[in-house]
Amino acid sequence: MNNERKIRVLIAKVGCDIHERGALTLLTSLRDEGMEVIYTGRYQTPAGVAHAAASEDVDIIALSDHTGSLPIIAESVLAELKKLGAEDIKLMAGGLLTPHDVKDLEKMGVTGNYGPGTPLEVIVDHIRGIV
Amino acid sequence: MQEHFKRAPETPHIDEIIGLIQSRNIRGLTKAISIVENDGEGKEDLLNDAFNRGSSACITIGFTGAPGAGKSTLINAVIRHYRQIGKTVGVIAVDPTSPFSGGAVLGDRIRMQEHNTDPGVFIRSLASRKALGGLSEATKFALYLYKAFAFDVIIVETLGVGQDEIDVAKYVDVTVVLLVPGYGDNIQMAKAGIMEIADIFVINKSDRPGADLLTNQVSNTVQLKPENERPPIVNTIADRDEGIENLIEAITATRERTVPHSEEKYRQRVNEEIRSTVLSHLNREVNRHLDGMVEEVLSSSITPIEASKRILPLIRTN
Repeated sequence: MNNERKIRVLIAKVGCDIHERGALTLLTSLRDEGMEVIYTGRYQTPAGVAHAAASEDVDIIALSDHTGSLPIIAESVLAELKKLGAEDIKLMAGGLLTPHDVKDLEKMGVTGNYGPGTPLEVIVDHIRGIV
Repeated sequence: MQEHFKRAPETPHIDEIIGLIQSRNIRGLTKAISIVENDGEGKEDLLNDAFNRGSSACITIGFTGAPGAGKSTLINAVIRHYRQIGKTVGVIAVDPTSPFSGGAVLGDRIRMQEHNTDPGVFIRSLASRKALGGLSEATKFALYLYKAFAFDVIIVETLGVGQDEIDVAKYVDVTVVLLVPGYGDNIQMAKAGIMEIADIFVINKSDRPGADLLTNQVSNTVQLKPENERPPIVNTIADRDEGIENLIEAITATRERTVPHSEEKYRQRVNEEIRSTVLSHLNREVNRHLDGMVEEVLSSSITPIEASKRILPLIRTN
């Protein structure tokens, strides 16, 4: 147990979105999968999320948003990570996503972008596969 | 298109990390903590270096108290006050690991998010993982690294359950015990342990009914100590930022008062560190052989006592 490396995940919400159910569900579900999960809470800034992720040395940031802003949020968080020299931290996104958003995200290198109704196993497998 | 996600050279080399810590680069500190937490390669070099360079000028404060007493919220307010007087602050926040899944929700940070972008504040959440009843190995070793990073103030937030709240007192200069109204009567006060380790008592949520009664009870308890050793009692309402200045004053005064005993305390700490490091090594070694021995006992070829004797010679020393 002592030598086991745990997957660390930061679940983050940037901006004015109040919809928290998805983030909270993921929080407990990933814990039950044996991961160490940190939640930023709502109304965060991209810089705040990047700093938290770098300090906590997480493997991946899971962005949650239901206002249709995920590509913009991802772009800003990526830029902030770069400023900190923490480009090794990966990103994924969940919430309201159009096919167009998914394409934009993938262009930035953000894979694992999931809409409502995605089975948890899909999300867990993605995280395990990518980190 | 994959450029953003090229994993930076896996874990940087240990010398590189030590260099980063020396130049006070946060990424160095955070990688170092991960290595220590995962028992990774180079852990010992990192810790030896950190131990040799650790600053003794910093003040270390432990916050302990029952879950829900308001430790994170109080720490948030304490950070704010230290930042106002220009001190850098490092926080180690420990939350419980599930004994069932091995996972953890690390939720202390959420109460301290106002400091997220302040370069003078570093917060790291640690899961208790499999601590041997007490402070986790990672917490003890993270303290070395924080000292090497030379924060002015280092804060440890404990789980607040079990042995770890007693253990923390051995590793910090000042132990703050949080109490809140509504947790029981004065019989609870008489219970051993938690009341004895306090350098300072904080009665948080002091606007709640029963706060005065609790303050009186704690006050009666500490009356039994000699006057110069009596821990101060501070009333706070952390989320309204009330009483924090009094707390900071009490912390500073306690540190000054205890300086004459600091050598004795340091001796105890070193003693404890050596002992717990050896014990956790032994624990790992014993676990390695446990399953095999269980099988032998179950198949009735030996007794558990004989099995335990057989494990001892199998223990590796490095």
